Amino acid sequence: MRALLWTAMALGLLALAVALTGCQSAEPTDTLAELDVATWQRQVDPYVGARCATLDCHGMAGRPLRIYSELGLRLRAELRDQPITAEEQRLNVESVAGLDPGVAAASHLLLRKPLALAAGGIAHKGTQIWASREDPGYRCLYGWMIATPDAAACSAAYELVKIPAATP
Amino acid sequence: MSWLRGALLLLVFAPAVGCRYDDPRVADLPDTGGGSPTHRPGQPCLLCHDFAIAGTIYQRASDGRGVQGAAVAITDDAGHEMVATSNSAGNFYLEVRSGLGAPQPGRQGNLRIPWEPVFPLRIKVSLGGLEKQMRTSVHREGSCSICHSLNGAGTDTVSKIFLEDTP
Repeated sequence: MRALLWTAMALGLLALAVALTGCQSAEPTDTLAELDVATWQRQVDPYVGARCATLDCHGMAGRPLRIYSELGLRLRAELRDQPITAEEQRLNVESVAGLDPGVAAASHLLLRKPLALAAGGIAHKGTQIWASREDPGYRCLYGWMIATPDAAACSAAYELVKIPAATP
Repeated sequence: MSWLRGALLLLVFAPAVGCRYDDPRVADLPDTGGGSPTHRPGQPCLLCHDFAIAGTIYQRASDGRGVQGAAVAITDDAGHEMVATSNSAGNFYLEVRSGLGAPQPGRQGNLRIPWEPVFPLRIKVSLGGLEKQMRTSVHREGSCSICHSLNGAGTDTVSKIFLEDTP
């Protein structure tokens, strides 16, 4: 009788462990894909360059996330007033890759820093940029990070922040 | 009344008294203008002064002296609109003053504003039919000259703020 009781308890504990494992798997597990430079250049860089890379924010050498952009930080002084180069864009991707290595996309600093605290973000000196994960900027970066690019989101995000080259 | 104006200017610029100007970005630059709102044009004002936003406007990027009367229109992220006018040195500066209902122009490039500006800011400068829209937003830096350097464009700086393109 006692052996039966012990067996029942063991089975119960096993069931609890399985249930807990099941709970954990409900957390975001989107793995960070190998970051694709070509997609960054084509879709993501215009938005990030305009929104995040001004000289008074991430367009600063030495920042953990350092972003080169046409109007911000340049790799070489002679590039000033020239379009962003492929080399600078590639280095932007390298900076992102080194920011929070090994962390799943949804938990990555690149996505959580600009996200509103109420939506699961964390403190960001550059303010809470995205009110929710539905913001096109969030979807643009998230899509790129999990190798499911969202060109429409990137385009919409860029339209919100771009400033025309000349006033009429 | 000139003594009163002098006293008021001294009060406004009192925070700069005792400033050692030892920041490498200004240490080697001349202190022209004698402690008035026209001093140290083109230099990062907020290193010493408790202003919200401040800078210097030039007619052309190659000019050594700033331009007077340029309208600096600033719109913050909350939709506040603020317009300062540059003084004889090209300097303008915005100060937060509680108790005001709306922005209130002061003298010599000063604009008193009732709220802390909410970043990012969009900025446009105009004078006599010339107009320049800043092509990026300002996200946190109140001293224009931190990025718009007297030393000109480099990897992490751009030219002075100017109105007129030169060939």
